[in-house]
Amino acid sequence: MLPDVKFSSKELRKTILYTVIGGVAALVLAAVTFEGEYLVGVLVETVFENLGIIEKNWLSVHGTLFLHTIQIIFIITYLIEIKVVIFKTTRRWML
Amino acid sequence: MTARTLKSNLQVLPHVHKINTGFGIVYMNIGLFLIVLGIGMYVPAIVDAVQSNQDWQVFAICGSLVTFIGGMLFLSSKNNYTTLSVKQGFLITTSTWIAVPLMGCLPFIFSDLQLSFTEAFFEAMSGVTTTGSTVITGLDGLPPGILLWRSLLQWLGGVGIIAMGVAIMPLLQVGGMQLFKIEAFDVSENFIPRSTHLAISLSLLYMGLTLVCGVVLWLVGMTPFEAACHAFTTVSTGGFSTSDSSIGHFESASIEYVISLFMVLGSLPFILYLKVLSGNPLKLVRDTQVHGYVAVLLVIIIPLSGWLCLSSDYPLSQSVRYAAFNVISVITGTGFASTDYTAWGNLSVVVFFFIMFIGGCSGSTSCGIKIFRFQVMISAAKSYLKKYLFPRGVFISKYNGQPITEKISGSVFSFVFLFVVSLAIITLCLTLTGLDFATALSGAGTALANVGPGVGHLIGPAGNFQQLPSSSKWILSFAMLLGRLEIFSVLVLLSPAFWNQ
Repeated sequence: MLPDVKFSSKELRKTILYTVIGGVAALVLAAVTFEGEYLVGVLVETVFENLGIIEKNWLSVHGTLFLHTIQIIFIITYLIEIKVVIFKTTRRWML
Repeated sequence: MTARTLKSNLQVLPHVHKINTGFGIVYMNIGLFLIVLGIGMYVPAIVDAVQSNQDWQVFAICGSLVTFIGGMLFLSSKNNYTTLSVKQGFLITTSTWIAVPLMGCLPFIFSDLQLSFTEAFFEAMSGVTTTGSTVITGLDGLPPGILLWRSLLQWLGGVGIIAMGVAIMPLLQVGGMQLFKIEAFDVSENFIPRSTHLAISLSLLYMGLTLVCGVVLWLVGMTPFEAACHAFTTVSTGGFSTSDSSIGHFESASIEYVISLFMVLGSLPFILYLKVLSGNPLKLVRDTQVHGYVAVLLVIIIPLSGWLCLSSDYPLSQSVRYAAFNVISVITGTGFASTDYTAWGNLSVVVFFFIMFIGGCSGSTSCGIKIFRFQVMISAAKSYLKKYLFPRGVFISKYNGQPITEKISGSVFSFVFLFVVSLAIITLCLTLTGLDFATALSGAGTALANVGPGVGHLIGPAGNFQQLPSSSKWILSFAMLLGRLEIFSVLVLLSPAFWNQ
């Protein structure tokens, strides 16, 4: 005997649409965060260079270190962003 | 009551939903999934175009064709029906998982790979079901579009699996999955009242995990492209790689540990992550299934590492690294390999053969029998044993605080029985196509459990499914579908009673 469950096709359609929207939103959020942090990093490096705190052309010499730093900062900030968004969406749920 | 009276009565009852008994609703949903798949094909098209690879045209044309077919199916069946039956639920689930690889295999046929339809369908089915068995050799020299498309197929399959495991299967009560019915869904007449919110949250979480995995892999030494492809196939516990040597190609302990971590994260219940993120941080560590899963991993990895250290030239650190990575890869059903573990000795062959059936947690991207079913069976067995010892006692088995009813334990036992019977029948069928018994058995096991590599020289971690006859590939494709849809969802369609009701 099959279980007596009724599905709503409208909900199903909306669910597929919202899944795609959620995925795209996460991707856009990641791109904005990473690019934003990279640009801020470059800006800070330029300011430090102009102030004489670090040597000239520091970025071209230490490019890998700079990229790794941005990657680590991105991972931390992005996880926090995801946590905040999901917390706001799910806080009143009875999961 | 005349037909006219009945019609007028229905007109004054606007809340009565019309139930669609036809196939229109099935076509409409398949159409929606095909639109998503078709749009997905433009991603490798862009990557190939940027790399000046001619395959971009194949992806662009296939993408347009699949989007067009999906759009036509959607528009031709778009109607105002609001409710569909559980039969249609089963039908939509299975037909979608057939239609997606059927269309997803087109780039494999028309690209430079020029695979036959059988091989292309096998590759696409292996991708969508997140199995990870492949018929393609020379991966290291393939254009980026094809590599990315294989990874994307697994990633898209992973989304479907989570949605199915969290929302659909508990309602269809397949194989004891009713244990994971979410309270918010438990409203008859209004299916998944918060399904849209849940979809957004799960989608954000899945994409977020994938992106974080990709950036960490980039950080520890992969190129951005390799990191993206492996992130797609790690979080989805799929196992397609960009190299014939799989993860062994990178020869990096840090890459193996990162992938191990994300394979484990992909095989934990995604709904628990939402519970943790919504303010219940202890939900994950208090879950019975997670306890069982971690215990199983430790119980297998620790002795195997010790045995490998004693019986080979590997130092302890390397033994732990190889054992942990390959055990996690096989148990979660990912199927990555960092080395040919079947060359470690007979014990490893036996261990890896049996652990491929365990699987991860329910509501995750992993497959296999799954941890909760073993826990329910052990609990039921304990209860029966106590009843024998103390005939007047009343013993109630519990799982995560819920009593395990006869219906749930019966459902779990029937699932395992059907799994074993399916394994036997598929092994027999594969033997009839000319495969030796060991290859047939491990092939059937790896396809049903959606793992990827089997054991033995032909389809083991160092082998490939290309050399198998076409008939074997079709049987294995069916087995992958059977395993991915928890057996019942496919078998119920083969029952004449399903169509007669």
